[in-house]
Amino acid sequence: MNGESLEVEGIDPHTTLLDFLRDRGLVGTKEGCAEGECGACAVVVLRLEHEGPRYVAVNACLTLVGSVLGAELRTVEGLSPQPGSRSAGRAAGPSVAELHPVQRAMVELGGSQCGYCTPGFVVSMFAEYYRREASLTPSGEPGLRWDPESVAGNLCRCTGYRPIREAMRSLPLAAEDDGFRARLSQPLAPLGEASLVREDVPGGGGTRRLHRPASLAGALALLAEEPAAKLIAGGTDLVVEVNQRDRRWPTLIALEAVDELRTLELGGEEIRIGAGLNLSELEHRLGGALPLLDELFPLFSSRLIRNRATLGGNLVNASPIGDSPPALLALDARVVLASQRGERELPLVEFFTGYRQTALAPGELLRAVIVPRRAPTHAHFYKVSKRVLDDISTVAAAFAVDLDPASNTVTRARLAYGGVAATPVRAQAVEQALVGRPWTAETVAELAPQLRESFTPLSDHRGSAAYRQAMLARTFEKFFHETQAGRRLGPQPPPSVVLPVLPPRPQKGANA
Amino acid sequence: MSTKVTLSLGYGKQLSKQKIEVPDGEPKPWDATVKTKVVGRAVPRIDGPLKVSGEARYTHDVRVEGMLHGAILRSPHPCAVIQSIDLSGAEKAPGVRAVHAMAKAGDRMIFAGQDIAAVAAERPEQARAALEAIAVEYELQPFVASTRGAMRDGAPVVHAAAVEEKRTGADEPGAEKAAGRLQGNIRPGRSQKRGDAKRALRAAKASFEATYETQCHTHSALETHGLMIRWEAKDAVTVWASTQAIFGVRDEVAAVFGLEPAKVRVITEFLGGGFGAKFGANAPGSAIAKAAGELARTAKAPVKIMLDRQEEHLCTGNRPDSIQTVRLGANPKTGAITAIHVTAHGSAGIGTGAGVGRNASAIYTKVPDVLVESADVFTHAGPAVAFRAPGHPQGAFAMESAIDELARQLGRDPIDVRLAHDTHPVRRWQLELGRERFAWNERRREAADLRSRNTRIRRGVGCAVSIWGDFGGPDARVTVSVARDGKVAVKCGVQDIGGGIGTVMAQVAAEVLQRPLADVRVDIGDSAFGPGVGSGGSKTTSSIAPAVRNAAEAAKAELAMIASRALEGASVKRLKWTEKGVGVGRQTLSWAELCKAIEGEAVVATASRPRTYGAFPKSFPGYPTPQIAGAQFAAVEVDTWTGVVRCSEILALHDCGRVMNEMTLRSQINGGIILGVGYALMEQRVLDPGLGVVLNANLEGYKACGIKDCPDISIVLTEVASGNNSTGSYGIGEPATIPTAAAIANAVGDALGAHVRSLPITPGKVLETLEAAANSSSNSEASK
Ligand SMILES: Cc1cc2nc3c(=O)[nH]c(=O)nc-3n(C[C@H](O)[C@H](O)[C@H](O)COP(=O)(O)OP(=O)(O)OC[C@H]3O[C@@H](n4cnc5c(N)ncnc54)[C@H](O)[C@@H]3O)c2cc1C
Ligand code: FES
Ligand code: FES
Repeated sequence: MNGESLEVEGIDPHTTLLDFLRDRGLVGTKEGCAEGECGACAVVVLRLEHEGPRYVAVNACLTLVGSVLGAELRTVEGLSPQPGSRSAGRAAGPSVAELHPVQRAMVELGGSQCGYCTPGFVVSMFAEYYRREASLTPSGEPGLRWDPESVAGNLCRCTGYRPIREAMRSLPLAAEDDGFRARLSQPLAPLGEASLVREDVPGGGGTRRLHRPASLAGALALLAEEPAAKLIAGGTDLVVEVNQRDRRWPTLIALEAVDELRTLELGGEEIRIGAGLNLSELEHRLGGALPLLDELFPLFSSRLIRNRATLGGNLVNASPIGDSPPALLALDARVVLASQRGERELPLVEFFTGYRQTALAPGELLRAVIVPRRAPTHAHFYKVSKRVLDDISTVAAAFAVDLDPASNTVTRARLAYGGVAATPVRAQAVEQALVGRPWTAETVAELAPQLRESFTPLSDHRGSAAYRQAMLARTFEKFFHETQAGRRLGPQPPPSVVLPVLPPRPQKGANA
Repeated sequence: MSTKVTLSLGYGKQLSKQKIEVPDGEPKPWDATVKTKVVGRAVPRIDGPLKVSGEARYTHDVRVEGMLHGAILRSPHPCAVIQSIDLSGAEKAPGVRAVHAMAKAGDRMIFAGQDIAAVAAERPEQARAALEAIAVEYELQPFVASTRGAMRDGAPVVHAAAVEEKRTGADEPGAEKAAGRLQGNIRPGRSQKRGDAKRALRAAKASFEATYETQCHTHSALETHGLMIRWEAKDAVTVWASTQAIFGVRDEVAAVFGLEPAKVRVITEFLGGGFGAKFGANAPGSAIAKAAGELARTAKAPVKIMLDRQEEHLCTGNRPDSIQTVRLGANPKTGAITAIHVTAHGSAGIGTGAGVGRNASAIYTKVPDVLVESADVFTHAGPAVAFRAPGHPQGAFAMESAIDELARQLGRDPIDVRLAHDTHPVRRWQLELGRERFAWNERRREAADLRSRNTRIRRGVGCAVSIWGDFGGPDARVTVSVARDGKVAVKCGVQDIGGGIGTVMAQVAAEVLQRPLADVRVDIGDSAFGPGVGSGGSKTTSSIAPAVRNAAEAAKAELAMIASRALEGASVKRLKWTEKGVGVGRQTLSWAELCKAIEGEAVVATASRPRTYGAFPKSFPGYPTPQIAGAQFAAVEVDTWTGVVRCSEILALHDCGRVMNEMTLRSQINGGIILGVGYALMEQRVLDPGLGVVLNANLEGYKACGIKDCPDISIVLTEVASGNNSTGSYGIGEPATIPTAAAIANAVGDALGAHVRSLPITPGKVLETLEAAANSSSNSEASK
């Protein structure tokens, strides 16, 4: 931690990194929500990725201490390249010269108002400052090409973000002799096995454990021994339950250190994605190999969350409004389930068995997702939500069609949705009806009513049932028009949909 | 006891000599002729390094020896009578050191989230766990959770008895004394009146009527409400509080525990935002100070209570919703508006204060007959509280929307309609400037073209205006000292809500004393530093900056005496001050030499500021203080297929008196705008009418703008020299957020050719509006 080692002992394995740090007096890291929405709790983890060590910013409020045991961490207090002596008074604190360039830019360009969000922004910006992909300008020159995405998971209620944007834009590339940069070219040991045990949890909690196996065999053995143990990958769903709904489990198995779950195989026929790979790493390692996912990533929460969220967690969570299921359904993905008994493969469409239920058997975990490497003629992902970024979908849709180039007829269609039923779904009847028809506005208009009636979505505070129903067809119409090149300003659809105002009705477990 | 001084006042090139009466002893106010060197510059905040390095200590971060953690059990029901409470389970729970009942059997709980009992324990999780061991039996009662529902005859009545008005320092001054008599859940407030609007409406040749609705909006400051109380003696406490009014907290704590105010010390070194919700010691809907104090007394240890994000949504205040019917009378030939009548209802939950501001009553002063009536509607929900320009964004949305809709109906340009009825010279200037800079005419033509071609993506522009007043006053006292080592210190018990008042204090002192900024030390955030002012009504800067100037001038006068002695009795009047020091003729004294001549440790001067003494060019209605004018322009892009609106650009033109610090000022405006964008497009507290509970009491379901929702913001500062106080400063925090949502709504109206009359403008509402417009045009074609 900030260059020193911290002993961890006697804590409940459900303790978040945020609570742990603040308890230890490292209170620069703030709590704004304890649910991954504000980024005030961001800290830096030096993570060993495929191409070497990388600084990633993560939400400490959703990271369990057990997941990062043995890792090199930095909080906002540990970013100063050369800590020095302090003066007193309001203007006290480090002198401007002692600050990290990111911190200095935030001071000089007025990136804080109340400042409560500032440590989180500074941490996210620090990680971006050293991000490999950010180190070339659009013209290919070395220079910082800052991606606003890097702070999209940080909320500021005061500044209107503009000075923060200006601060980031003002930064040059890290200097050659920058110690933090130099650290990236030194070796980093992989996370090994670790565990935390807390006996006699007060209030009759019994013994609670967290195991962090370092191999798939180890994970499967633990799971075989205790099929009720709870797996945790990125924790971005699970720890929300710990914090907000006080969920506790006797045994947690952290998948963090299982390398077999973090592989990516780019085969000629198919791509095999380890279930434990975080979405940020997946995104840059795919390098555009699955364009539909490239449309999805920027719409899936924020970089902060994606730095830990895994595809496996998203699928096993099986939320009807999860974003990756529609995209993967449209791509005909399959899942690989593993247990000590062996492995089995299932089409993804059979994986979702009911509201937040999956085909995973006791003792089984999701090992990988296999995506066939065939490029549909057209494929797009849509997410309708109120906020541009980092918002849960009201409706998510992914479409893929294959066309016969000679006749412009549909040879195969996949229409997948989230947010319109109890599970992620495909509109299979319409898919079949499309096959053999010409890919024209008439076809789309003819099938729109059927598409609208395919599912009966519910109302909640994100959108009314009627709005969702309308979106079933509208997103598809939008898709069609976007496949017609140069037609961004398309005509308005006929006013055929009736959209009564419905009072929002609570939906059981409406949360992702 | 006052003197007349002649000042150069005005704005832009419109300057004139005005005679202003200032109290004796007051320095000559900075007017348009005065060029300052440090004041006005975009100086980075002096506490920036503390903030970026994580060293700034907020209430949430404060830890003292022996500190316990408090937590509060809240009613899960919107309306219920407590049958019994059994606290014994909590008393026995591990780690618990004190339990405090906040309600008793027989009490009627009237919103989900109301205080029941509090516990203090060694660890926060122990306190939370202990709450679960408290057994409460409730008898459920009927409730009403929607504003319209509460207005119906026979609706369950929220308050059994009379309701006491609760005001805070952030309410628009003068809005007290409003309360009318309660009828069911409806309690009429004060009306704003000019002429006879009802008669004028009957006589009008053309009229327009529409009903507008706005949502309940929560402050959602990033640091939640919280405080820690430590008893220092039987009759003395220290309070660390996340507050925007240190002295408000002091007085409330003193009142709650029957202490002398002087025995209450309040510390707020840093504060993670407030926006109007953090004036008292208790939160608007939760007696956290009472609970912390009682628990601390019982446990004989300091107790800290920090609310969590859910509680923050339930019981710490919000901006009331509103249902406003606007009726306009007009002359279709001239386009003149002859009457405005607004009837507004809004729910502040169980609290009061659902006003609609002054857009309708005080901006369009050429309209002869105006009536604005507003009423509170009680619902079983957490109380509202002042929120950045209380009432104004709601009122601006309805009134400014109605102006645009009328303009569309009459085939006139909405800016022309505004100019024809507004006499404030600065706002008129802002509208004209904005029209030009925003390429208004060209963009309106483009919007019309996209509409006529019925394209999927539409673009539109809109504008809206704001009114606010300079409410700065003489509450604060500032101490400026110059020590023998030459260092300057400025002290005041004011808190920095984020506006950057500490930096402005340093700048003003540096300006007057002609010292480098780095040599000025500022101490704020502690009641021990002397009276401050609550950060509300956008009055922090205009209350504090003049007091700093006055104190610094007083210190300088004393230094002048010392200099005159040292310079062999040179007359004080003939002294020449420079950045190096002071002199007369060829004789000079460096600053260091001068300070060495100080007898004792330092020269210390304390000063306040008098009441506002000038209001040029126009006063805020009913006040002898300047009116603050503003206008904003918005550009939007609407996807008519999904209904998703994106605000792409905002041009904000604001009057801000004399600029004290351009960087912090612009930041306030940016922040006001982004809050307005959220209000316009996404933020909404959703209360389930069937269950009476908040469905999105978190930041996952309650979305505020992120960086990618942020439009391109351009800011034009239309400085005004108003001769109001010795620095010419006034506030901007609130005005900056008033017109944003209204301007966006008008831009959406321009894009669609039909108005979305309800905030937030969600995709569903956009599609409904398009649908209704298409139906009505096909109906009218059918009837032709
Ligand atoms: C602020 C925020 C924004 C979000 N935005 C989005 C969004 O835009 N779109 C979206 O779809 N989701 C969103 N989510 C939800 C969440 O981030 C995703 O579902 C994420 O992919 C979960 O992955 P994880 O690794 O964090 O899962 P975890 O929380 O670790 O686990 C989730 C569940 O999956 C199980 N699990 C995990 N890995 C495996 C495995 N290999 N085998 C078997 N079971 C496993 C766990 O036991 C647990 O039940 C958001 C969450 C937050 C906090
Ligand atoms: S505390 Fe808000 S994201 Fe972690
Ligand atoms: S500065 Fe206050 S939340 Fe960002």
